[in-house]
Amino acid sequence: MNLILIFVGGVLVNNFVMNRFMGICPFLGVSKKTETAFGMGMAVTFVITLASVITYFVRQLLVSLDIAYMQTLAFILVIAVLVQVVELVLRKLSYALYQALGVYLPLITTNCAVLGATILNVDNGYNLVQSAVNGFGASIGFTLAIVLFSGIREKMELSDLPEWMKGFPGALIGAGLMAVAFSGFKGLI
Amino acid sequence: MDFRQILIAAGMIGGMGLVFGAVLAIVGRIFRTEDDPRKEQVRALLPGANCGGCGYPGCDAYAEAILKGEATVDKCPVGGDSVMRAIAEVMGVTASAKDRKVATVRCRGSLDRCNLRFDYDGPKDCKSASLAGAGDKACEYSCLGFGDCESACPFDAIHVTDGRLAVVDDKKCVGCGVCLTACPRGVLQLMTYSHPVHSACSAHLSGKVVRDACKAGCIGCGKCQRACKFDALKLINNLPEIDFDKCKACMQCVDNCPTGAIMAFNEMRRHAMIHYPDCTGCGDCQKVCKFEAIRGEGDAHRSIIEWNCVGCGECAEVCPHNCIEMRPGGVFRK
Repeated sequence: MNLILIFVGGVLVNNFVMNRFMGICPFLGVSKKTETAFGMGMAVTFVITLASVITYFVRQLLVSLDIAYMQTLAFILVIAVLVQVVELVLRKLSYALYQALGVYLPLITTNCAVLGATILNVDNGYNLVQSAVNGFGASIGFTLAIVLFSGIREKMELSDLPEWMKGFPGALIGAGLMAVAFSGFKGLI
Repeated sequence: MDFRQILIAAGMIGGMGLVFGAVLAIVGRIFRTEDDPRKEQVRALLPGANCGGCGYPGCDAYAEAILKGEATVDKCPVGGDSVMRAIAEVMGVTASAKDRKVATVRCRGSLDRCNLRFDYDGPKDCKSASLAGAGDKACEYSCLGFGDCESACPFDAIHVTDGRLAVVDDKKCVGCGVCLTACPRGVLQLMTYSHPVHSACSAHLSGKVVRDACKAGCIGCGKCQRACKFDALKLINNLPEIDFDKCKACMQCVDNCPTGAIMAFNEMRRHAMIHYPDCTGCGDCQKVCKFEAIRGEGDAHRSIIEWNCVGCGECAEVCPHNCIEMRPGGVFRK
């Protein structure tokens, strides 16, 4: 029951993009097309979920050595390596997606959503399974937000916006409205 | 502060780095992808000036575009023919010869020809000057001569003279077109180097206005249009427009221009010469000559009246015995 709560909390209630305002960079950068947005979501999901698991062990190691204050540095190291792995794998398996994600793929390294998820695991004192579920939920939340948002942006491309609203102004207002909508999940748990 | 703690922290992070590095190396080995080796080759062939003359942001991007098949191999203005052929060989495509383009200043309004309307005291660059009442030169189409093009040119091929007029060194110019975007007036244009004549004035104004502003401007008198016997030159919006498919390089437009607003590529001037032994006196050349430059009657040899011959080459084309040769150099009338 607890795990389901953590998952739903990560996806909807405490949505990383809409509620915690983390990972805004790829959220705006890669949300022009649903296809690439989904790809980005999957890449982030992979990185966050694995990072949650690995950082749990790293954290244990750091605590046992009494150097827990190094966790941010160590976590970034873990995330950077994971992103590199994702990049290598994507390049081999789906060159088109690799091209479409472009610079935003290596930018996952410094994506605060990833580091945020791992540090929140620590702050909330989650155990291994809870960490994994929380990371997975958070990244599914990110994917949900970015895919929904890219759908909105695709529609907006076709709609008759005034010149000064085309592109990012309209997208940012759309993102704001989406955040308002997501705040409706407050109090769900 | 325990010194050991620092060592532990450093060793821990360093050790993690090592382990992760090893993991990355293994993954990199498993998922190795190879770049197209031709990319390196194409990139090595390109000059590396990164001027953007091809329309791509630098030589790397152009090489990539060639590999993807988005770009043709003839886009590099710097490398020219030799580079184009070398790349074509790497890519296994055939390349066709391309006309060499050079930047041309369509203005002759140096300070001794073009008047000044006011004393301009602002920043010494063309963009600022063009904003201040459309520049201080009396002609609003003129070259402002503060050298925006000179500083933009990556090849040191364009310089401003003392008379505040940009002049292109056509030996150095590679036709990348950087100066065209730097010029706020649009007096720079890319012209095919091998075209025999080009219009050297951009002023669309009426004759009187141009004349008052500049001694060298095109006054739209139309003498060039009348002088052109091949219907290749039309006066449109007070400026000559030349159809180079029809132009025969007779240079009559240039020689008849009262202000010198059409320039000739003088190395392309020619004159006809008849080789007598082959001439049968058929008179075909005489019929086709529009300049009364061939004399002779009956079956006698024809000969060229050199001061009338403009080197259009019509006679050489129709001669059934190939006895007329077009020789370089012509009679200069002006």
